[in-house]
This record gives sequence, structure tokens and C-alpha cells, in this order.
Amino acid sequence: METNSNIGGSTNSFFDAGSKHIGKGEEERPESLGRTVLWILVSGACYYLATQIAWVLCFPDSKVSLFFPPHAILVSVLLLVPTRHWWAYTLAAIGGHFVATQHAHWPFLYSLHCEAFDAVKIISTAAGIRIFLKSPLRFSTLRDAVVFILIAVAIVPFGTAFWGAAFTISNHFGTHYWIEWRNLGISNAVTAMVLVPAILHSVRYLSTKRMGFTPGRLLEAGVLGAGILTVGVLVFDRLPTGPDTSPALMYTPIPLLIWATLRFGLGGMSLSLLVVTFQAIWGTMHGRGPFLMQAPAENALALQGFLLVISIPLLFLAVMVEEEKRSQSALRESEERYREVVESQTDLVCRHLAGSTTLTFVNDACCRFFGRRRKELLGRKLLEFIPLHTREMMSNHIATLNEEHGGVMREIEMSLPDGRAVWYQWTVYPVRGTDGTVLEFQAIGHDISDRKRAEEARRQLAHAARVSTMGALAGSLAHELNQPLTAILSNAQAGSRLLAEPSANVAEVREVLQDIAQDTKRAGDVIRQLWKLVKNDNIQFEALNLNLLIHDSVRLLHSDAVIRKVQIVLDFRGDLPPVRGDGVQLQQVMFNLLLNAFDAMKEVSEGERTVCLRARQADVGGAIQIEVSDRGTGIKPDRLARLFEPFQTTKPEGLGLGLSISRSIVEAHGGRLWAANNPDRGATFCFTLPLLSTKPNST
Amino acid sequence: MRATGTHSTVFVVDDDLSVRKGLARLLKSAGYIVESFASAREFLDRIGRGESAGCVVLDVQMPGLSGLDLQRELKAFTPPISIIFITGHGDIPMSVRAMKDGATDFLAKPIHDQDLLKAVQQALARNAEDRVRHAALRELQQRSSALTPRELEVMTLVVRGRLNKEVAEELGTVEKTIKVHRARVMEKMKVASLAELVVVAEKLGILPGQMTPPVFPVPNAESPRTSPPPS
Repeated sequence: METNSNIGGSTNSFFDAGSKHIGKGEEERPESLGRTVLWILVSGACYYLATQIAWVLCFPDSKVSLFFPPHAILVSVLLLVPTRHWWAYTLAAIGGHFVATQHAHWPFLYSLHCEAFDAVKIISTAAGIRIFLKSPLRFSTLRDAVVFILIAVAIVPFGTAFWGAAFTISNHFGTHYWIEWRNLGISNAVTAMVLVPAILHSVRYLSTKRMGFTPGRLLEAGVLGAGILTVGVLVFDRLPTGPDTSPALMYTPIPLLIWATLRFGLGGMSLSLLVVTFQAIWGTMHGRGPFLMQAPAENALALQGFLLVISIPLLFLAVMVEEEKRSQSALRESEERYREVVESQTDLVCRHLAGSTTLTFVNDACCRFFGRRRKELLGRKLLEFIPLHTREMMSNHIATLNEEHGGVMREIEMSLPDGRAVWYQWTVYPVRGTDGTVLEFQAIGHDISDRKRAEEARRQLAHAARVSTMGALAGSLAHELNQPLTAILSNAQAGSRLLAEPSANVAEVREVLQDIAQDTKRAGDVIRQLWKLVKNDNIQFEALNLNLLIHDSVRLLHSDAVIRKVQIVLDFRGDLPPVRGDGVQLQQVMFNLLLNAFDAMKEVSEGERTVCLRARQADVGGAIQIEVSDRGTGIKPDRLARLFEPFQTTKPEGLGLGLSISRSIVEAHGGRLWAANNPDRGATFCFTLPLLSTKPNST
Repeated sequence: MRATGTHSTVFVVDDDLSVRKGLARLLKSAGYIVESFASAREFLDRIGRGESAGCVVLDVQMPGLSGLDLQRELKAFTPPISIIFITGHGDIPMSVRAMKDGATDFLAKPIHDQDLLKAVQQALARNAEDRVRHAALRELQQRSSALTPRELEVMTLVVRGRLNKEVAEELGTVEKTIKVHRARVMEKMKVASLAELVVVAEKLGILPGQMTPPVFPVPNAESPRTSPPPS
């Protein structure tokens, strides 16, 4: 359904509402029935009046009504009302005409015949237009204009003229058949051409709540109107006919008409054309103007021809102006809509040139972010507003973009005008011209500061948990360091004693030194483990040997296990394939699970404290599954569900974060961590790690 | 090579290989005979219940049988082997307990050679003393097993300060018989005077009020008289 909006206005007229539903049934509202009846009666009265006026507009010695408004008026009315009311309007109109003719004492039958003929002519015009133009006639497209001209100006007038001429001749009116035909046809054509667009447009204009003209436009309209009137008066009224008057003078209104059409569209055209028409007819009727060269009949023809010839192109021009206006407004609306989308973004949207990063477009969010007005930003370089320490990265990022076809994302730290640091994710992609060269870049910045802050907080928390684990392991670590140190000291002292012997055994001393070196390395390993626990780096994924990782973890806990009289049993099937992960974080998980297992068996008798550490490749998907089983009291069912939530602990000195951090570490590696009670006693904690070939999820 | 005692061996028991090797090497370089074991169980299997000459350097915290558990086991040995505890953890309550239970010393890792050697020397000396005392005691027990029951009775009463007359009365014989028994006791026990016999009796633990044979020679305490002293 076509949109019902004129430029700047809304349609609210009864006529428009009716004309939309062509031929379709519609519920008649009781109150509008009264209105319809009223309009019908008004139409009838108008038709009567129009008839009277038309008869006045005859040449003195001719029966030819060179301009017969009533028909055009009725056609316009029919085109404005629903099809099912046509019968009523037609009857009212021709009733009016009939009354008029009877007042003028026309023969009864002749009148009736005229009415019937007129009715057929008018209805076929209106019906033809309505059939070929599915939507109401607005003269807004070329098709409208073409259909209108073909039907209302060419086919119907000249077609019905065959019969009308025959009728006239048979009633002994008129002179010659073809002359009558011509006169009838051209009369109706001209009237339709001049009046119908004018009436339709005026009705629409009046019934829409249109915005008023600006003062400038009013002035222009005024000047134009004055001009047309003046010219018309001069050309058609003032100048006497005769050899001194050139018929070329009748072209003088044409520039003004074109001006009216171009500037004021259909309304301007139809109104000015109407004015000119009346002036021409009036002048000709009173024996003035450029048309009085020959007999009145020829003059009429000349006048009508003139009017027809100028009005048809003007209608096309008006239609094109309307089309132009409409597409302009649609374009403006669309542009407005898209602009609003971009401006209302909270993301930063900007465009800049390829080489110099000069900004060509910034949205409101950009202006707010940089704390400047739009005109201060455009024309400056984007890089100026990036803080120094990230400027190079940003410019490298932009420099590499020329080869890319899609958008490239990069996370870049930026500073707000007040100095606060924020993180933005910039997606930049090139805008290419039709020849493929890069015209400019469009950059969209999305605020990810919250995510970065959460990541940072999570990292700090994991680090705190690691440090806390380190505290729990301090005794164990100290012991692990003490063992090689003891050996080194004993060896060194033994060595110097050996050398003090009169017959020093060099080979044995060499052995001593080798042992010292080896023990020092062992101590170094422990220190390295300690550093790993303490460091606070970001997660770094690399290829890991799980066997080594597990053995290292167990070794560090060795002395703790001995003190607590816990026996650790390792159950590996051969060498495990490498996984991709962060060794520090995974070791943290191992410590957490093992220490928990130790704690779980506090109450168990000394000989039965066994922790079983199993590692195998699960059958599904090739991931590696690691299990830590204890023989403690198991996990209470009501605690099982909340086990991995933060701040869940049964230990008075515990933070309760170990399992929740462990789970988030395992999940960051692309695995799962879960727990279940053993069938006999105790519980088992299992976690999976995908193999080196599969990529883990990014957090 | 300096030997502090015949067949005296220093035993080193620690589950950590490097520590074992280092300590063993240090002790060997000081001239001792050393045997190392990775666990208390291995050590026990080795020495059995036979007489062991020497001392043991023992790690407190070991998987399986711990150092303190071993100390308890070793108490049953006669003479008990001297223990020097070593530990990687500085645990004061444990050390106090260990010392109260009769360890010679308690050293913290890393161990300085002087501390260790001094402790080993002390432990071996003590062990030597104990062995000597134990040997002497065994000798006495052997001698006393040669006594007839009657002679044993006489000896028991005599060392309580009974006169021959009283002993005869108590046992229902004559003084003369008692005198004969007494002489024979003296001869079998290889003592020359009553005082010596009393000492022997005390060592054997047959003086009244004694529950176990004393380890250290205690000065002659006043023994309660069951009957009023002879006037």
C-alpha cells in the first residue's frame, strides 16, 4: 500500500480515505453516511452552477462551449470518492445539469440524451483512470501523467466525440460532422487537461495539514502570481486584435508557467495554467487577444490548441518535479535514519584517511570521548588523540590494514581527557572506492574496560590464591630446599676432610664435587618452583609435559605428605601426550586438589591415608583426564552442588577460593573440573585437559 | 684411620638419597664405619635383635615407620642403641619429646660436621659404656644362675642385712648351714665382702623396692628394713 504521506504533511481527508479502497467493500460508519450525503448534494449543486458558468463561456455566435468545466469537475469528484458512491454522485450531477437545461428550455429528450451521454463519458474517464492506475491519482509518477493524458485527454474525449457529433448533427445542430467531432473532442480534452489536475491537487492540498510557506517562498509566489496576471492581462486583454498584434505574443506566459511548475510543482502549474486559461478565454470572448484572426470557430480552435500544447509538457514537467521532490525527501529520511543510528551509538565510530589518519567523520560518542566538539576533531589526525605509549602500536596496526579486506580487531589502551586509562577494542576496516583503492578507513571502538578490569581482578585473585598456597606449602618447600643443602654441606665438609688426609683420594673428592653440583641443581629446581608460584604474569599457553608437571607437584608436596603420613600413589599409563596450557596455573590446580585430599583424610587412621593420582587419556575426544582420589569422609551431598562456588570452605583458616579458581583455570584451558564421591569411601576430583592439537577457549 | 671402638658402626637412616650419601661420606671421612638405610624398616631388618655396637643417625620424618616410631622399637633392644635425631623441620616439641625418650642428641639440617661428629662420639662412647655395663650385668646374671635356689634365698636375705642367725631362723635351718651357703654364694658370685655382694645384688635387682635393673649405677640407697635392726 502506498505511503500516505505528502511531504511534511499527513492526509486526513475523507476523500483520500475513500479513494484508497478501490472497489473493495468497507464498513460504512453511520456518521460518515451523513457526510457522504452532504457531499453528494454539494456536488450536485456545484455541477449546476458550473453548467451555468460554462454556458456563459461561449462564443457569441456559437453553440460550442469551448470550455466546459462541469465534466472535468465531475471526473475529479469521481476520482476522489469510493467507486460504490459513483452512482450517487453522477445522478446528483446530471440531475443538476438536467435542471439547468430545463430552465434553459432544452428539448426534454435531447436533454436526457445529453445527460446519458455525459454520464457515460464521465464515468468511463474516471473508471479508465482508476483501472489503469491502481492507486489514487496524484500526478506523482510519470505513469500517472501518461495514463491521465491518454484516457482523459485523448481517448475518451475524442472517442465519445464520435457519438456526440453524430447526435448533434442528427439533431440539426452544428455544421459538419468532423468539425463537430473536432470541437467536442478538443473542448473536453482541454477542459480535462486544465481542470482535473488543478481540482485534484487543490482538494488534496486543502485537506492535508500542510506546513505554511516560508516568507521567502510566499514572496516568490506573490511575485510570480503578479507576473502571470500582468502578462496575461497584457497579452490577452489589453492588446487589440489586428494585423499589428503578433500571435507570437501568446508565448509570453510560457516562461512564467515554467517557473511556476519548477518552483511550485503541480500546484503551481495547475493554478497558473488555470489563471492563464481564464484570461485567454475571457479576452478571446470579448474580442481581444492574439487569437482573433479569423472566424470565431478558428479562434476557438487556436486558443484550445494553444492551451493543450502548453499544458501537456507542463504536466510532465510538474510530474517530474514531484517525483524529484519525493525521492529527495525519501533520501533525506533514509539518511536521517541512518545518521541517527550512528549518532546514538555508544561505541566510537569515526572515519579517517588512509595515510595521515585525518578524521573525516566522527560520531557523537567520539566527540564525548575526546571531550571536544565535532569541528575541533574533523581535519585533525586520529593519532593525535591516542596516548603516546600506544600511539606506535595503533599506527602500526593501521599501516598493516591496507592489505586486509575485512575488519581487524585490536585491543588498545587509551586515555580519557582526564587521564584515566580505558581499554577499547578497535575494529578497523577499509572503505574502498569502485576501483578497489582504499579511500578511507572506518574505525569502531568498543569499550572493553570492564572486561579488562575483570580479567585483571581475576588474575590478581589467582595470584593471591597462589601466594596463599605458597604459604601453605612454605614448610614443605623449606624442607625440600633443606635436603639438598644438608647433602651439600656434608659433602663439602667430607671433601675437605678427605683432602686433609696424607694420601688424598682424588677420585673420591671428584665424586664429592659432582654430588655437590647435582644437589645444587636440585635446590635450584625448588627455587624455580617457588618463583613460579610467586610470579604474577598473565596466562601463557605453551606445550606442557604432564608427567613432569605432576611429578614436580608431588615432589614439592613430598615432605608435607610425610608429615601428615599420607601416601601418594601415582597411576600413569605410559607417557602422556603433551597438552597446551600454562604450567603455573595447572600446578596451582594440582596443589589445590592434593592439599584438599590431604585435609580430607585428617581423621583417617595413619595407615589408610592414601591419595591416588591417576592420569589417562579419556576415550572420548582424546582429552587427558587427571583424577585425584582420597580415602577421607567424602563430600556431603548438600555441599556437592556448591562445591565450586567461591567462598565455600570447611576449614576455619581457609579462604574458600581454591576450587572456584581451579575450575576457572581448567575451563580457561578448555577442560572441565568436577567431583564425585567414591563408591567405597572418600571422593575423587577429576579434570580434563584437551590435547595440544586442540585450541582452548579464550576467556 | 681412627677407630673409637671395636666393631662400632654408625648407622645412617634417611629416606633422602643425597642426604644419606652426604652424611655417610662425611662420617667415613672422619674415620667411622658407616652403613646407610633408606627406611627404618630396612634398618630393623638388618640389625635384628642382635647386639648392635654403635649409634644411629636417624631422620625424624620418614614415610612408613618414622624416626620416633623406630626409637620406640629400639628401646626394646639391650643394650639400646644410641640415637642421634636429625630433622629438616625445626620442630621444638618433637625434639623435647625425643630427648626425654632417651635420644643422645637432636640436630637440625643442614648439619655441621662438628656438631655431628661430637654427637656421634658421645653416642658411641655411651654405647660402649652401655655395652660394657651390659656385659658385666650378663656376667653377673650368669653367675647368679649358677646359684641353687637355697643359695639364692640366702643371698637375698643376707643382702638385706640379716644376720646369719636370723637367716637360719627364717629359713628353718641352722646358722652353720647358712654360713656354708653364704661362703658358697660369695665364691660363686666372685665377691670378697658383704658390701660387694650388696652391690651385686642391687645390680641384679634383687634388693627390695627395685622394679627393674638399674641402667646407671646408683649410689647405695637406704633400703627399708623389714625387721628391726639387731640390737
